[in-house]
Amino acid sequence: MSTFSQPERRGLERMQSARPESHPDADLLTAFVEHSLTTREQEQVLGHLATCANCREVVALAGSPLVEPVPEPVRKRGLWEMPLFRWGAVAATTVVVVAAVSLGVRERKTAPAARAIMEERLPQAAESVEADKVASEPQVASPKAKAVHPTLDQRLSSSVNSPAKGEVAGTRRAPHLQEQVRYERPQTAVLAKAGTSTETAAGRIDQSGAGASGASAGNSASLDASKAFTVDTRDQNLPMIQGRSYAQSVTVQTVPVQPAKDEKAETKQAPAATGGPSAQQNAAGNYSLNAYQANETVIVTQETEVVQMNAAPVPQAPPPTAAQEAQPAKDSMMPKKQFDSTRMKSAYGYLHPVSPIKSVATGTEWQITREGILQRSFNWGAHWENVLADHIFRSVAVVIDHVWAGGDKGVLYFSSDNGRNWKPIPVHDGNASITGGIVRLRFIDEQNGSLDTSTGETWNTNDGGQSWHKQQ
Amino acid sequence: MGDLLYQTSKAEKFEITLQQFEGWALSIAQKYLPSEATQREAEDFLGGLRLEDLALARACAAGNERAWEQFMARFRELLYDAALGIAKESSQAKDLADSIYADLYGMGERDGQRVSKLSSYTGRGSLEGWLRTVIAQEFINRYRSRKRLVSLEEEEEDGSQFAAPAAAPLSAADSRVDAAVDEALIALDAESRAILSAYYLDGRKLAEIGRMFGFHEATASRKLDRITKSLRKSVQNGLVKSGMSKRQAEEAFETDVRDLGIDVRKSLTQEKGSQTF
Repeated sequence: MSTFSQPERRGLERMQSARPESHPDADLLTAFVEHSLTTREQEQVLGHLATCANCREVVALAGSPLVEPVPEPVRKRGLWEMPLFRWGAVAATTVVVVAAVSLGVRERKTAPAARAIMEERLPQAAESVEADKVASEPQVASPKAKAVHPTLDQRLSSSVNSPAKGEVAGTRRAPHLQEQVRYERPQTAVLAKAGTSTETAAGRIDQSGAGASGASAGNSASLDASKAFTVDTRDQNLPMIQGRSYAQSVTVQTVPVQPAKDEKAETKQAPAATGGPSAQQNAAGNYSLNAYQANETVIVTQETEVVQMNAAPVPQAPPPTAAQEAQPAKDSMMPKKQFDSTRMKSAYGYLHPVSPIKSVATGTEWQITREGILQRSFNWGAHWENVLADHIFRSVAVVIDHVWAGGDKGVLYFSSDNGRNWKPIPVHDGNASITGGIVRLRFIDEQNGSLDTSTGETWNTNDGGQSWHKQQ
Repeated sequence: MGDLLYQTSKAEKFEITLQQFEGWALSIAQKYLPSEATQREAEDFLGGLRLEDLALARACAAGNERAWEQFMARFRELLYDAALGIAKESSQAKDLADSIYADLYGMGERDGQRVSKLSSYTGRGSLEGWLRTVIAQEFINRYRSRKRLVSLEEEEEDGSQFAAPAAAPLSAADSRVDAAVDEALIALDAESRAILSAYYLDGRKLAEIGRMFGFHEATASRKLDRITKSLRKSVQNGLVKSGMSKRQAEEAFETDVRDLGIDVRKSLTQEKGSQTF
């Protein structure tokens, strides 16, 4: 950087006002920090900031947590813009072409000549030359030969009815899925082709679109952006809401950990920067689940951008079979004790901090701390603000900008403006009131949802949570 | 327009009437809009205000309990977190946050009426940002006043009690340099001057400057480099116009009598004082 001389520095010092006539008020300075001033006002404030150290200090102090990180403008220089690379490529291409031509010419000249000489001198040698020539030609691949880089179809087809690497015999599969399965690393989910399924350590991704009752098989068409992803989980008996199956939604469920008496829980809270599970759209317009965190349930529905986060599993989670308990997944990233059926049962109601979930539509992230504090972030987790800090929350559901948060003592709050304003919602249906705390919230759209309580109750709503009725 | 603004602000839930709200909107527009602003400009201006925050703040200033409940739910933690981020020390942050809260609640009175700082919020920026700005202003005011109240012991430790008298003014350097620098600085745009002041006078880092002015740290570096080069060139051109040669103009930045801290006249006088024989 250029140096700044003393005369220039003194000039700046002379420019500073000992006592400025007036300072911009807090509103103007705030608007300056948030870039909401008019051009004229911006110039006026900048002119004042150039001469007032105090106001510069205010802007510096007030601005840091508010302003989102400004992305660095990408200034990539293409390789072809570099003359050296350009001419080097041309030269290399020329050399290759010349060499290829030369070799080809030489071969044409040499081979017949050599053969002629050999045929003339050594008839037997000519025969061997022919034999060598035949032998040197590429052999037809044997049926057992495998391509070095098989395509996705090939890899999927190769795993039919046989455990793939890392998959353990006896692993439970969803009975309604007839397609091939394949183990993936738990942090990587794979876009499965329609009619196929891909199993992760957390579950299986199936884009069948045919609901839980069955899936079409062998459909090699590309992924249908209009159909939701379905991820089968260990929870086989997903409850129905208003007759709609959860096959229309994606659920990644992990089993929470119930710590033993003499050990601490191994719960981990995902770093805020990772953003936790989120539905992201790839170039094909299809959603993919890019990552998941342990001890959480995330439900994403492609059509309505529903994101839900709960601290506890569904109470109806069935216990694993004896075979599964005997042979837990070897390559699973989750601790072994998470497969303990006893712990699964007793884990209901055990509450964990939940990793951030993101509403793609609004860009807002939500999380609940271990202490049950609901938090919101507008800047990718760089700064979290507490929301409704007077209450202990255990579950939050988001549909675009509609947010429901439920917690201890049956507390339920609703916001229709991305958490700016909240209102408490009593959960009762005239005959009965909610008992226990809310441990799970699920909304498939802005109107239809359900909640589960720590006492095993399930309540449903079809008007966005304004009224509830208890499921019998 | 007033109805639309009123509905958007949801002021009704805080028992704010349409007339009240329209009165606030009018006063805010009169405060910030130039007199020659058109109706369209006024509508755009009012539409750009944070109306819900404005309704909340003004309702709190009026003592509406429901508004205060909402305000506390949203901003109670923020007040402390912001104060902690600014003061960097928890007890100081708590004092700061409590002081701000008292001002917001309206512990003071004017003409027998409760005066709340929230009544001055106009919705130009978010209420959250406004609160942080207010906290920053209060922190700076406290720090400045604390600096003025320095104990004698501290002064002794700093050596100010026994400080040497100020040195006599040195020989006047070429005033053409100062004039050329002043002229070049005035010719810069406001943002460039503000960036130079923030970097060279306040000692701000490039990342801080980027946050202050709304661009990336790397952009701040490039801007600073460009501005300093441009300033130097302007000053040198000014010096050349004032009669210096180009070499002289360059040397004016390399050495300055004031920077050397040498009183040449005094030195010459001392040498002259020695008697020769």
